Amino acid sequence: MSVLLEIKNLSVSVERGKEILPAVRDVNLGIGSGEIVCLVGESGSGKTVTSLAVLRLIDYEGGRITGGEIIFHEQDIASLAQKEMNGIRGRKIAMVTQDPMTALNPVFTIGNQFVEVIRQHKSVSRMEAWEEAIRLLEKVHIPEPASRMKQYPFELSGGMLQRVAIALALACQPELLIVDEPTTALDVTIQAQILNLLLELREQESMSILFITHDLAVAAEIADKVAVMHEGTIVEQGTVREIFAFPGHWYTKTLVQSKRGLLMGSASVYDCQDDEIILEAEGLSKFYPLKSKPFQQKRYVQAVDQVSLSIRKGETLGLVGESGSGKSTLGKLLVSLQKSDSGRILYRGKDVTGGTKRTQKELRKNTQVVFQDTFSALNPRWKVEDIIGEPLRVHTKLSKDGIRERVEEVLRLVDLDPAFRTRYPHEISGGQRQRINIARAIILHPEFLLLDEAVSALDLAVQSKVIDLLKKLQQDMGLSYVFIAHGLDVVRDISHRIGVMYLGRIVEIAPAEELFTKPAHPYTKALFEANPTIDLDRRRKRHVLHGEIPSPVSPPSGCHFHTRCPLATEKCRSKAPVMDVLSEERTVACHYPLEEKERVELLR
Amino acid sequence: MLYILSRLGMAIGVIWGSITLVFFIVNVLPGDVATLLAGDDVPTETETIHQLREELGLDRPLLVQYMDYIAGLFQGDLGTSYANSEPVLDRLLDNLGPTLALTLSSMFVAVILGLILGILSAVYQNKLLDGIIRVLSLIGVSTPNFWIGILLIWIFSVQLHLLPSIGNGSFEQLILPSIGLGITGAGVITRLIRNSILEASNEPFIRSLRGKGIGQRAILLKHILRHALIPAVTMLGMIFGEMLAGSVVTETVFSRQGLGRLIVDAIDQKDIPIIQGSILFTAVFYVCINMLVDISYRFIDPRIRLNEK
Repeated sequence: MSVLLEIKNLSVSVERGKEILPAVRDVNLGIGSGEIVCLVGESGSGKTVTSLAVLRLIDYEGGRITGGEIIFHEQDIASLAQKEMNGIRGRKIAMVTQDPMTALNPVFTIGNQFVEVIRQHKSVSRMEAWEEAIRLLEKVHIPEPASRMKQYPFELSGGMLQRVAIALALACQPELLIVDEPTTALDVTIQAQILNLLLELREQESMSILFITHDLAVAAEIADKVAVMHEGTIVEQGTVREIFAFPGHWYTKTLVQSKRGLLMGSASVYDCQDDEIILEAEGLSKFYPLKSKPFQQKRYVQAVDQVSLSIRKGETLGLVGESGSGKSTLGKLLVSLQKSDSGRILYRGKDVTGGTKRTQKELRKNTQVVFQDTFSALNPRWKVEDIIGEPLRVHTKLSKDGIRERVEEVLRLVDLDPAFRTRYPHEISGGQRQRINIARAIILHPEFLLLDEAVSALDLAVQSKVIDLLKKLQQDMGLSYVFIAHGLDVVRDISHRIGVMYLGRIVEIAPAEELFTKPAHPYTKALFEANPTIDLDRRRKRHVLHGEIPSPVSPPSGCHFHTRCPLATEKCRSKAPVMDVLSEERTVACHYPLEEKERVELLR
Repeated sequence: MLYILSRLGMAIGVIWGSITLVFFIVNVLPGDVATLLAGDDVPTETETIHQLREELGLDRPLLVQYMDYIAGLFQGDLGTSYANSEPVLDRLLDNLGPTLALTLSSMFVAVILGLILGILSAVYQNKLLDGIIRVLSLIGVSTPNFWIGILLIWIFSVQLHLLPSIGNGSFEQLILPSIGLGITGAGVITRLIRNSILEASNEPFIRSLRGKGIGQRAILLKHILRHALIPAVTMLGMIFGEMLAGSVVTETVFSRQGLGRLIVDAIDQKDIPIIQGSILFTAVFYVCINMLVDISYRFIDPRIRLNEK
């Protein structure tokens, strides 16, 4: 295999405010033609800076290449003029950026953006460029490409947009495609589709791919070669098998172990024996009215549809499902942050739906929430002690000294130095901020915590520490959690039971391990199959779930899943299945639940 | 369509509100029209004054006068001036042209100057040129119109004898006043465009455009500028309002005929029909411009247009 791009001793400095800091030091990396190289590392490790340097886009973002060479076709990119780069960018080396929702100009149609790029590099007419664009959209399997061309980016879903962005990058048959976290913002099912697409395109177009990701499992799925970055340098690189089977560097070892740790974690979860039910939902529904024109029938988004579940003392109930499945809305209904349209919520057997101000306040004291965005959940102008102490000022009559004492105590509980109490949110790291959020949530000794994507924004290592903390707190304080996340491994690690949601309904609830090893609902199985794994023996061309989650405005009739289900029959199209008890602890809503034998075989 | 209709309804509401407000405010102000009209030598509360009042219809209750006025509006009758018995509509139309010419050309100055300086300032961010432009725009924003007007007259008419300082009719006579009136708006637009260009440059899609080899100039003029225009267009509506208000002063400084001068004179003479008519005209303009602004968003930003469907 010949080498297409070779990075030699690359160093890059980036301007941050008044300082100029080295962001990348002495990076050496070769990409062979037709090869997929994954650059793996935590946020801030220099992955993106390296890729921007290869395209020399770093010059526009306050950065400068301070040393080394980037050899591409016997030319040193590091020393080319920007004008010459415009002939390489997009034509020889193309890029797909992280968030597809923001990667396209929102005020131009998809078609216009294609025409602009194609005509930048080829002398063709508008019409020819338009035709060419439709062919490109077909190549990335976009349905009805001709009509998509006339749409604006915000009219398409994230998965579709990522396909569009990839098609746009392919416009001039580049030899190297740089993709920066192309699937991070997407659901696992869509992620699997995009990964398969990239593998397929690599074959068809015989191009090389530099794939940047923070997710080891994604790297394990797609890479030929992996380079691990840490604090601006590549600490280890090798074939995918070398890296995952025999990690050499301590940092790689930690990464691989924390990922594996998640997978076997469930065993270490505190075994909850208590049968006392804390929170119960009965036939909970929520719909949001849509803006509609006069004289038109009012339409609704059915966010949550007749959900019943219960949470025991000291138990964690995980909720998984694609975005738009209603996980977050259900969570908010459970803690009365939103009012349900029908159904009841019972707290310790008492109906708390609606309720007076006083019972509401009592409920708030016992049910707390932690959200994903660690920063916006904290008032930036308040000190940590004021933030954590606020619930005490609202709910108790403690003196100033009393509050301070409690704040210090609870800071120690979340493994933070009590000296943190005089700091401001912007002065501390993301992981520490999430500990502050947790500290505020537990200071009133609640019984129930809603954790809505509470660890999703954190780096892997930090994530596992916060999970450990949550487990410890659960054991010590007998807390019950509802844990919502799109990362399936994390949910498996922390949950006792897991509920799978699809278009507002719960389709299956089962104990965590059983659900993962023996899913009964076809959707559950599809979801888990899409989940990337670092287990290289399971790396294969998967049965990828086709299509995307349908619009909740007009959900499919009968079983909502029938449009994507491989087993669907006429019955599924006409009749919605009810929750069926499979065994103790297990219920599933499916006309044809997978048999035990079938489940094991399909998941091999 | 529905959107435009609802905007139209709102616009009519605003116009009606301003007519009503002005009607009652001018009528409760102290000072008796009849006494003023009769002149200083006629003593108050004589037969002449009573007669005058009756003729003008001022002896009727205020509410009746109001209904009468509104009814007149629907027939295109804005009343007659107290001062010289001319129909108000004619007086207004006579003065409309010069004011329109002034505000529109000031707007032109503001937009062109603001756009060019704003783009230059953003492109040369934190360089010397940017510094100069930022100081200039700050001066433009903070200096009162009349002072700029006087300064312009002193430099270009008195010292350099380049341009005429007063009067209206010719194009030359329009230049100084429109610069004088336009400079504040230019300052505001410059600062706004600079900031919104810099903000739009940080949008992630700009990075991906560069990654596709699109040239720097095309990115700036086609992609960034279109984004940066959205807040600037909002500002245009407000700037237009300020210009209408500013024309009162500018027309006085440059001794120009126009609605602004007309209002000032009418207030002096307590010529209520003229005051009301001018305010009505101004309100209609202001509302029209802002409606245009609202509608133009829908062309600049498809997200607004399509979200209504």
